[in-house]
Amino acid sequence: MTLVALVLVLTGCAARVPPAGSLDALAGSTRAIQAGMVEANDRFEDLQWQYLVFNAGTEDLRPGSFAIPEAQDVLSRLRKREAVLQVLSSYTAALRAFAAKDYASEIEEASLDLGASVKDLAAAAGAESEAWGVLATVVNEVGRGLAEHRRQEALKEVMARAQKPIEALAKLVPETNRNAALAMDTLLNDVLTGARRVRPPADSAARLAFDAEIGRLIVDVRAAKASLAAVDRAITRLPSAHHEVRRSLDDRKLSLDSLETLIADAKRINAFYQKAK
Amino acid sequence: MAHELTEKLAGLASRVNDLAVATTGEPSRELLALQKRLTQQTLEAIAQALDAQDAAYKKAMGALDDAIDAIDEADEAIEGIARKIRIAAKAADAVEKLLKKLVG
Repeated sequence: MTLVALVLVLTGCAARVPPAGSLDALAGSTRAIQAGMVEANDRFEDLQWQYLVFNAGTEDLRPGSFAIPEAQDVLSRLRKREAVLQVLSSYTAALRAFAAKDYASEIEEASLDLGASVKDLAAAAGAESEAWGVLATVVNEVGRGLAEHRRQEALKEVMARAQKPIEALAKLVPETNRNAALAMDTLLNDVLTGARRVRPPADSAARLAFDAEIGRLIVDVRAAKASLAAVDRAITRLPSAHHEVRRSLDDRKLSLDSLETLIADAKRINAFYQKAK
Repeated sequence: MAHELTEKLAGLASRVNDLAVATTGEPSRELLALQKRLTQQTLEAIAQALDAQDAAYKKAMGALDDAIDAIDEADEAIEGIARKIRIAAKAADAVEKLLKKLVG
């Protein structure tokens, strides 16, 4: 009787498979956030290069030329943030993989193996071997139920644990991006000052080529800032979407409004990213 | 507070630049040199503001790393269910062999 009750309870849990779709969307969104940040940093790097070229001045060229002093090196500090967003992306990817992993097949295979062994054992002991064959089914059902129950509980616990760092990142990243945008404005202003000084005469081919390069730089900075703004919007929504997906583990009817908004924001980042390619 | 400072510095550098463009000769050159200094100071202030965030980023990254480890541990625990069933099957095989030996 107790075994039957256990089977019912655990197989009941087995029916509640984790919401791999919403975790998939969460993972896709964090990937887009990371890609948006990397894309903006790549453009920052191009801008910083132009800044260094315009500031090479009249000094002789040396192996150490075109290096930004460490104290003013904003880019290397921004690049360090990419590693943090990589960890965030890895976390949501691990969640997704864990939710989608097929434990049932492995348990079924082991249960069939057990069933065959027990049948042989019963036959060797002179007992009714067919009756023992049911054991494989029971073990399979209980095992699968237990696996799903443990997966569900582990997902809830891990997501509860990750909520705070995600909230912290949702505040830190926009602050970082405000600084990145400000640094881009500062570098661009300086580059334009230098460009005005050496701009070739009007109506010359050199002028066209020069303007095309500077114009491209201005457009790139604008795109990088737009990409960072899209990253800000998405990461600000991430904590509520993450919390919502966690709650949906217990309540499958819960509407996933925050997640849907996050997906839309992530798509916008992807659009900037695709345009840049 | 730090962001306010960097914004003001950047704003000042930009205004000095506008002024330099609007003037000529020595005053313009002096303003451009001032703009250069302000640009460098702005970059330094931004770099410092970013450094000040480092500890908070590290803390968040460490907590997310722990969460990833917890997922791995849960994965191993669930894989352990199939492993335990296989051990039971092996035990049954061993008992069967023993029984056959005893009977035979």
